[in-house]
Amino acid sequence: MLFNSLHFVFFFLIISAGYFTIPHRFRWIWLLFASCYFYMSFIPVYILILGFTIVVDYIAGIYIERSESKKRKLFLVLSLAANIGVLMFFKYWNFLNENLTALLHKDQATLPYITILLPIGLSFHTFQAMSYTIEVYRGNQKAEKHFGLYALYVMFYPQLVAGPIERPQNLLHQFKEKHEFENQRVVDGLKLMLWGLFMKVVIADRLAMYVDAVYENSSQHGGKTLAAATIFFAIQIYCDFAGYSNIAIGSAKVMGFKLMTNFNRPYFSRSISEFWTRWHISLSTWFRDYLYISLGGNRVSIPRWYFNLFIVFLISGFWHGANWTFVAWGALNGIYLIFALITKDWQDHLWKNNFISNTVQCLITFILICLSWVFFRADSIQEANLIFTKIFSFDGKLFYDQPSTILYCLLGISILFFVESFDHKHNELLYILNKPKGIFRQFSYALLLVMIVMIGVLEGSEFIYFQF
Amino acid sequence: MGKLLEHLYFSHTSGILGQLRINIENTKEDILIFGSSRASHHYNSLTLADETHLSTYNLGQDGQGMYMNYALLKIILERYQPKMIILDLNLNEFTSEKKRYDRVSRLLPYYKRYDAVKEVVELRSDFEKLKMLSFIYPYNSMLLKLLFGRTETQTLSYNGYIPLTESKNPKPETPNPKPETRNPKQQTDHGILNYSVKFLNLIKERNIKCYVFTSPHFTNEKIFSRSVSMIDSICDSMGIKYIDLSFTKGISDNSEYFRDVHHLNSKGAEVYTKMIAGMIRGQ
Repeated sequence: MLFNSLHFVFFFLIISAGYFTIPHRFRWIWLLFASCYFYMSFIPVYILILGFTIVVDYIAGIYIERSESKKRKLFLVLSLAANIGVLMFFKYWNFLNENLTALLHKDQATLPYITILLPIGLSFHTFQAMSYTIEVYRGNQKAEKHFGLYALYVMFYPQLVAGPIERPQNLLHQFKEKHEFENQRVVDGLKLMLWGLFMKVVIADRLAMYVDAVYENSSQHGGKTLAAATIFFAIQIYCDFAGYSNIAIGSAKVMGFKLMTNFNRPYFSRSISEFWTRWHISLSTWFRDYLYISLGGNRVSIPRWYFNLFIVFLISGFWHGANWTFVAWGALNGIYLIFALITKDWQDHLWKNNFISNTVQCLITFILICLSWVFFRADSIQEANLIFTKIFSFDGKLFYDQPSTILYCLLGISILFFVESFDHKHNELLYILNKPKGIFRQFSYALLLVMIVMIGVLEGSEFIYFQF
Repeated sequence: MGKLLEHLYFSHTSGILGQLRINIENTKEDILIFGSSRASHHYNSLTLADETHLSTYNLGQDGQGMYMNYALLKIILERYQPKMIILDLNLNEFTSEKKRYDRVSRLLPYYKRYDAVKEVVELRSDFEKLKMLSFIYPYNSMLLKLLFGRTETQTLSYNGYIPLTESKNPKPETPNPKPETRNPKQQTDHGILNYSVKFLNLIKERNIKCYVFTSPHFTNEKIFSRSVSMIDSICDSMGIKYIDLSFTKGISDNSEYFRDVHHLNSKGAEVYTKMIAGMIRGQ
């Protein structure tokens, strides 16, 4: 069940109405049932995999809390091994197999291939489950004794398949609190969902038409076309994922749950380090809290500090998918960040805090990020290299199948820029929708809705991050 | 707003929207050609009319598949009976592809007018009936065409035939169609297969003369296609003539006749149309 489908609209209405209708003590059952249904609407049998990690982490959490020193660590390691093991098996087995075969110069695969599809959202809920056992181990979170509530923490449907990757301290206690129906909160949640849907179907899916047409035949296109497709992809992936996050956060908000912010206008960042505090925040902070700090963070020698940063980005890239392109994407971002740190004094001296300087910094950051997206979108390192070569040659004519495709793309990007410029200036999400009063506010909602129906791509395409 | 969009749509007499309207409401020719972009670019209606002395109209449209063909034919047969129907099938006509269902969206403005359109549109999803309650939804993604589409007039000048002259896309590097047509593992879409049979049954029931062709690709060898073997046996069982011309010596191996690997240019279309006219005359 996709967030951009009518199936989800009915599901959401029924679940939200039911949530406020039934007594508080039964609501967790209602939400758990809803989450199971939501997950099983993709491939039903995969709920068993999810069930396995839930049982393992639930038991591990209790034993970690009860145990002391070495035993405590042992239970944590067992829990992490189970989670990472499931992730490695389903997501990385074939990749490791292929690379092992290539490394050993064998003609046939070293190990048998697994031919089953990757369980949807595996990387997301595995990381969320791991954050629970780590936090219990660190003493920041009490082990949850109520199995149903713990299962709901992992399975809560709005963020089950593509985040935001929650922390137990933020989410678990919310299931125990009674949420009343609050008109303003419900309106705010619905508004966020509406904007998220707009980002997905009007902007991301429209851009995807051009991006897919170009990237699927990258060898046939010239530099200008590939450069345009790469810029479009940068906007597409943002609107796709931030759109998903907005619908997730909004649908949870309607029921009174506060999920963490996942995107904060990342393309207004003036540096790569700022970008990474605004892009996929729930994953960046996960890596910061559980990997970067565990490696020593910045409280180590400078070379070790750089190494820590690089390794975190490398693993972050690998988290996204079993392909060297993702590793290269992570590595490039790591290099960007290290370079920014090395040149920090020089950059502080160069850039002034004025409009022109800020705009130039935003543009440079955007271009650098766009270049890294080439690795993210290309099917192989060879293809990425070819695209880079062509982009820098900037040759050929700009391809467009129909002028309307480009016009719709530019219209979507303009609306996004317009809305986010106001948000950025006033530091308030959806400022442009909140500011007008009375009939003008209703008009702005109606306008968004009409645009979704009129120019949105309503074919129910998947979200990019579902594959991770 | 929906009413305004409806008015704009049905006031089109030219451009891509106007062409579909003409296809549905105005065709009265003896020979009708059905198919995708390959049909619309490969069969020169005027040449075929000259050669066969029968008026000809090309109903082929970019991305069009069997669902669209079936709906169009059923609507047209309610109005009149053509003397002959030519169906151009692609090498991957029956392979499973979600886009085929999405492309039916062009027919959405006719949903409430024709049962045949209702039938194929509702194949898209379980929620299509509900979506059609909106007056705006049938015109989804058509705004720019509704406002500026009247300027696209070339399609009407040649009875639906759209000649390809200038090369917009890069020249083919290899004289073979996309490799997916060679992939024997590609799944068959039984829905399309079923509608192909329904399409041919409509023709058979009305005793209309019918030819099914697969027009040439730019290739120097015969291409494996399960769709070809399927349509071959279907046509055989129904007594309908099917000729696979995807690899036609003298055309398929001549780059001068192609705009890209899948499409003949106007020069190639002229040669090809004369060739099939000869086949029709020879029967």
